[in-house]
Parts: sequence; structure tokens; C-alpha cells
Amino acid sequence: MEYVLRTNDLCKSYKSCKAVNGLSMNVPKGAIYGFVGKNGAGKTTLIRLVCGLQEPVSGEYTLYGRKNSDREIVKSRRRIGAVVETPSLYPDLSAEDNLKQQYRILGLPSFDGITEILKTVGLENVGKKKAKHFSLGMRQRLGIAIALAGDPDFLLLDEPINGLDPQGIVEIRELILKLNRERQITVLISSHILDELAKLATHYGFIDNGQIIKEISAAELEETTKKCVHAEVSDTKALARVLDEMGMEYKILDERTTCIYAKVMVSELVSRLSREDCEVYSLQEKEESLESFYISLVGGADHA
Amino acid sequence: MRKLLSANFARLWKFGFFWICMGFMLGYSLVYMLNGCRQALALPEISFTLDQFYFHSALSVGAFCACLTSMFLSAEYGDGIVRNKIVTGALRRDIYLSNLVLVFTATLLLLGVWWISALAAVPVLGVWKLRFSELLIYLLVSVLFTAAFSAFFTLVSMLCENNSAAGIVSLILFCGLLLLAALIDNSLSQPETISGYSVIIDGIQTVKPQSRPNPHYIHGQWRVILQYVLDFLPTGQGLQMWLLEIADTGQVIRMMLSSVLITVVTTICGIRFFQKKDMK
Repeated sequence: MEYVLRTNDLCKSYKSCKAVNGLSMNVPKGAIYGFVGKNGAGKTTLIRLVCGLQEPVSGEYTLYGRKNSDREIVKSRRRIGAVVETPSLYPDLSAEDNLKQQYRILGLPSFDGITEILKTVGLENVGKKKAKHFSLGMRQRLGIAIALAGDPDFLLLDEPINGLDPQGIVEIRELILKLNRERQITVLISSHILDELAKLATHYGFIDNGQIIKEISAAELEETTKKCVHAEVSDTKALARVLDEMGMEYKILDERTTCIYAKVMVSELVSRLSREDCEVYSLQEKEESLESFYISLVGGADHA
Repeated sequence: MRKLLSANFARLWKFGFFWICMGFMLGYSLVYMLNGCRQALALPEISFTLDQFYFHSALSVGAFCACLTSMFLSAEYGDGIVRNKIVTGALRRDIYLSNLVLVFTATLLLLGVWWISALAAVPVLGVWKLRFSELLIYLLVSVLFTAAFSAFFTLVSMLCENNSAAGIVSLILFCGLLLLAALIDNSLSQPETISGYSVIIDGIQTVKPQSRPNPHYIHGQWRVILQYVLDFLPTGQGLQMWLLEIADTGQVIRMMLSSVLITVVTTICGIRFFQKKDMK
């Protein structure tokens, strides 16, 4: 698998506080990587490190194959766009003038792409309105537009939906999906709004106390968390035979417990099992959300 | 670097505070010079010259530079523009230098506004009494200490992300340096002797004036050191220029070298610190 970003045992501390503590993560090319963690877990620090705003005290990261110690890392950085915490924009300039400024910073020869970028983020009709008069969602979209000015391959978004109203959240979500699907931009999106992240991410990295505690693809996570019926029986082999006959998907967890991923007709299942001399001790419907998965990872008691 | 300069200057032309400073400098210059004209017309027995008023800008340009630098660069920090430039792959050294060039140019433009608008007093005060070469030297010294001010305040603003803190620190530093220069200049201006008093009764002088040494007069090595310090400080240079106290070629060279030294050292230090700085 090709990776856009790989970090290895990355550390960053502020005085005595270790914000990032041996963090290793891998962001695959083309992914929407959901970076999940509570406040202060180290999400923003990691993004600052990757963007070159801060230097790690130890460890390393590779961005598009170039190590952070390589002088040429700035060339890899030219392939990224980022919105770190608040969008970087001139409040007294219009959306178009903000983009013109970004074009100048990037040294782009003409302002030709500005209209298209404004259209992409849905700000084509704001005219000469200054950025300081924009709503939070509009500012966030303008921040993403500015990040898109250099036609990046990798977008880092730090809490892009924080403080947005439901409409704003939907707009940002659709924008990120559009950028990923239509422009094949890899996106790293940090958030603690897990339900929203679940609608976007193709991969997840769970961070706690400055360390990645789990990296998982959305497909694997779905497999782990999908709705199932926990059946506790005396003979799992008999249960497997019956489920095969009924054409149901299942997974045997241990000698007594099986997870059935289908709608179960309880009476029929019990009667079939009874014919196989198999006792049914309990049937429990379970569904694990991204949130409960995260809590189970980081320890529920600490985050209650 | 070129693209950063292009972005910086495009920004400067739309930066409201810069135009406020330009307008204020214009008004300040006109009011100050017209007041000089008023004095010259009111007191025809005293010979007022354009030179006495023309270089007043040397004293105030540092304050304008401090305000403009902190406002412009702090806004760049506060709005996340510096962060944005780093993310796009710009070198920190280039970001620092492009900001320094911008601040220096903007302050020179302010100085230029003074120099041009101050010519409004020419019809009353006439032209400079300084020789052309002296005038050029004065202007060159002004340009160089403007560079020193720009480098100094760029250092402060680039290392201090907080908008108001950068402004306050810059102004306090400017006031402190100006006060220091004024104190040194005052000490060096003390006469070597104090004239005694004479008593005249019925037109007959009964006590003859006897001059005695001034205890506050600074002698020897200390006097040389203080003069060097005064020539070294940009505020000291400005003060001496305003008072038309620049005496000889050696002093001019000392002043110019001091400004170049301050500019180079503060810029090297600033770039070093900025490269190590953790940005939020």
C-alpha cells in the first residue's frame, strides 16, 4: 500500500508535558483518515509537526517519501494544504482577494483557478463581502479553499466542523467527500465528533496520551462494530451447522458464544437447535458504535 | 522570496493602518513645519532655518516603525498567515526577510512623506543651510537608522505572536531607547564650566563673575564611551540629527556602521530564533 504520511515513534513535548509520545501512524494514499482522540490527546500537535510549524524532539515522519530531516521536505509540503485550528485568512479581504493573496504566496502565475475553487467550496456568490462578516461555516470553507489553492494532494483538516451548525456540518462533510472522490485528495481529518467522522472516514487512527492506540480501516471497523446477535449455546458446532443451513453470516467467538450478523427468527432458531440437542442459554442483540468502540479502546472509566 | 514579497506588498497596499500612518505623518509634518513658519514670522529677529525643523522626523520615525511593524506582523500572526506560509513550503528565513524588507520599505515611505511634505515650509524658511553633501549624509544616516529600527522591531514582532504584547513591547523599547539617548545627550551637553554671577549696585560691579568647573561635566574616557553609545543607538542618531549635532565624518561613519551592525546582528538572531520557534 502506498502511504502519503508515515510517522515513526514521533515525540514532541512542551516543557514537561509530552504532547506526542512515540506516535506511529500511516495514512494511505487516497484515504480519508479520521484522526480520533479527546482534547489534549495530541491531534493538533501531530498536525503542527507534519505542517512544519513545530519540530519533533525525537522520532521521524515521512511525507511523500521524504523524511522530515531531509532539506527537500519543503517540496513535499508544497503538496499539502492545511487548516490548523482556525482558518488562515485575511479578515478584511473578500473571499476572492484572500485567494489572490494565497496565489501570490504560492507564486502562481495567474488567478485563473480562483472562480473554480470558490465554486467548489460553495462561495462563488459572496461577492465583495469581507471574510470577517462570514459565518463560521463560510470561514471554514474559505479556509479549505485557501488550502486548495496550491492544488494539494493531501489535505490536513484540524477539527473542521467544530462549532458549526448542522447545515454547516453537512456542507463541510459533502465538500470533503467531493474533494476525495473527484480530485483524489487524501484527507487527514481530526475530530472528536465521532458520528460525523463515521460518515466520512475510510481509515481511522485512535490517539490517546500522544500515542496511536489503534489504526483500523473503516471496513475492519464496520466488521468489528456491526450489529449482531450474541448467541450463547452449549454446542457451537451444532449452531454453525444450523446457521449454514439458514444461510446466515456468523463468527464463532469462543466455545459457547457466537456472533450472528443477521436478523434472527428466534423461535425457528431455537427449534432447529433443539433438534440438534443444543441448548440455548441466551440471545442478546448488540450494536457497537464508533463512539463505544473508541471508549472501549481508551477505557470508559477515564472518559465517562 | 520574490513571491512572498509580492504577497506582502499586495497586502500592505490594502492594510488600513499603513494608510492611517501615512496620513498621520503627512498631517504631523505639515503642522510641525507650519508652526516653524509661524515662529519665523513672529520672531523675525531670530534666524530660523529649514534644517532646524526638517529633521524632526528622525525622532518620530522610530515610533511609527514600532507601531506599523507590530500591527502588520501581529496581524499576520493572528490571522494565521505566517503559519499558512510555512505550510505552503516557504522557508522561515525567507518569511522573516520578506517581512523585514516590507517593514523597512513601509517605514521609508513614511519618512519620504515627511521629507516631501516638509518642503511646504520652503517659501517661508528657505532651503537647507546644510551643504548638499551634508544633506545627503543626513538623509543616508536617516535611511540606515530606519533599517536598524525596522530590523529591531521586526525581531520583536516575529518572536512575539501576541498582537497587543508585540505592540506594547515595541513601543516601550522605543521609549526606553529614546529616554536613554536623551539622558546621554543631556549629560554630554553639560557645559565644562559654570559662569559665576556678577552683582551690580548703582551701575558699579561689586562682584566679578567667576566661572567654576561644572560637577556634572563628563570627562575623559567616559565622555568618549557615552558619545559612542549615543552614536550607536538609532534613537541617539535621530536625536543628534534633530539637534543638528552631527559634527564630523568620523561620527557619521560610526553612526552608519552602527546601524548596519544592528540591522545585520538583529536579523541573524531573529532568523535563528524564528527557525527554532514553535508555531501554534
